[in-house]
Amino acid sequence: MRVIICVFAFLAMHAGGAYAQTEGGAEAAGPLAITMFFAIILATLVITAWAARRTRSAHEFYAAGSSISGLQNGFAISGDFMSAGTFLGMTGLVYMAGFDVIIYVLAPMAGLAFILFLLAERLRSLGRFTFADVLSWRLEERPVRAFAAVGGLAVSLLYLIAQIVGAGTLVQILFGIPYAWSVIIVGGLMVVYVSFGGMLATTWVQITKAFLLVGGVVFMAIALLVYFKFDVAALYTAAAANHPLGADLFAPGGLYKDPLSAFSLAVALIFGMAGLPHILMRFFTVPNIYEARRSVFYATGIIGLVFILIFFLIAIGTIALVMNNPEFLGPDGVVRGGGNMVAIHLAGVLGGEILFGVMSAIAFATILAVVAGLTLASAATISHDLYANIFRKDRAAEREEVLVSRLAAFGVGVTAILLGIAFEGQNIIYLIALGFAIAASANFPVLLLSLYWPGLTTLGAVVGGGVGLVTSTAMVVTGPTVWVEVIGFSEPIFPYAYPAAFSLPLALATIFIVSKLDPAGRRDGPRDLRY
Amino acid sequence: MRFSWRMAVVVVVVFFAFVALIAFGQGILGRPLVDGGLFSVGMALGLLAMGASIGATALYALRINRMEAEAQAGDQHSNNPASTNESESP
Repeated sequence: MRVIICVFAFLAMHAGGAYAQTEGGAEAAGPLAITMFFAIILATLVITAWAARRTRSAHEFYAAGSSISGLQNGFAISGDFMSAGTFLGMTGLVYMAGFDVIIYVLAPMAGLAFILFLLAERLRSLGRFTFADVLSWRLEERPVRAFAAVGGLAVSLLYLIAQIVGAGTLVQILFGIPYAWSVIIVGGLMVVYVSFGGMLATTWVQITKAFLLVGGVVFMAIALLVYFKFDVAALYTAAAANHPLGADLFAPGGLYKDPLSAFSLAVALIFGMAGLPHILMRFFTVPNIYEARRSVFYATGIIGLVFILIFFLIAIGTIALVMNNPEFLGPDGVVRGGGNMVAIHLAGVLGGEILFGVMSAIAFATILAVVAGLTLASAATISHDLYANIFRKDRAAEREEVLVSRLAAFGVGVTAILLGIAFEGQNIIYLIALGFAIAASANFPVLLLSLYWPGLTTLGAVVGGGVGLVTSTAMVVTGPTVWVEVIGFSEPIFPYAYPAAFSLPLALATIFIVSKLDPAGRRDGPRDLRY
Repeated sequence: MRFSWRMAVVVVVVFFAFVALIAFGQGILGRPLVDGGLFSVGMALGLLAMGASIGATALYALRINRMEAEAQAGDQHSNNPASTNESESP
């Protein structure tokens, strides 16, 4: 453990030294930001070392021994959802398209409420660790576990690659470290957190980061209001004057080509959240169902506060103060670092080098924490579902399973680093779109029906979920984002960028029809739970 | 219909109603809330929909937790400390 920490500390210092010699341009962070960056890494490693001494059993590794309180878990859930895509990406998207981004702002609040009302209670009372555990509770174990493992891993890996590519770019821009080194540092740190500290370290890294992110966003919102002398109308007028859309910045029409695109994106965002493995795992880290309910309530409140401040103030502030500001324009006339960097530039405008350094470090911590959560969910799927239950047919000792988890975290980390380097410079939005589409079309319908429909059969779940997985993937690949923008064909085969409005109903219908036509596979419905 | 299903339907309907307005009611949403202002009707309605989602979560969590705490207190009063929130209450 100590050796590995030393190795990463060396790598980080080496990379920092390389920056000092080769870069030093105005866009890279100053010594203060570098200090903050190391302070954050050190804090998370201390948390991991502390957690590693407390993590022995599988329950401790996957669910932190159910020792997390409701408020802490609320921070952890919101931390899991608020990736770098939130603070940096959402601000950048509003900066470009204005009002229409509001669907991204509302969806997580509605999605979490939906999860709480219909899924959390039942998941929790089953007392298992993964999505696959829930399915195998009432269906034939091995086929549904294999399906759930494929669905869960597909979503986690897509999300993980997107985060790693975003992280590499951010660290590269902030600290002037070469892209490959940035990816290796982020990937290496996440492997250390997960394989040594398990869920306890992952959760505490997540709580720390969510706390910092909330604090940073609130502080920036207040600083922005002070800058405009608490005259919000002046802020909005300045933004409308700067943006090419003018006053239409605050009206619909900037992002969606047609009504169906908006609707399909909305379906993927609200129901996809219920199919994200690293979010579902969070219902098992609290000691009881009371704390689980309270934690979702805190999480919606925290996400609501942060998203509302970003959408209604900070993003508008970037348009008012960063857009067309010659200080931030690169030689090509575009803002330096692209849309993802406008929030960080705004921090510089509002609070000078100190706030710039603090917000950069918080953005970095955000990425580290989310990739750690995703790695843990993937490692749990590999060791618990594929290894212990399918490969070893439940004969694996618990110590053996935890060891495989730690090795799996290492394997997932190395895979993510390699794919992250391979995807350098690629458009990562389609990876996230695909992840959410699969989560909403494959994982969510099977999960919902397994909890509520007594007629569901194993064949129905596997075939219907498989149809959701294959159609959503095929629709994204043949749609505008991959077929046209990545591969380079002139016309998409599937005309819409977001497939969930088609693939989710198709999956539900397939599950229903196959289950009805499968009398031999009929199993008893959920018995040990009240309807 | 159970309380949890009613709440879920409310949240999902509010969400998709707002999305439908973005898709079809662009003229209404784009109008300023106050004449001459910039803050649009859409932003105000969006804020309301967010408040409704958070409020629904709060209402559900507080209400169910209180009901179950009371049920448990009642169970303990009738000398039945083994009963949990999953057991049938008298």
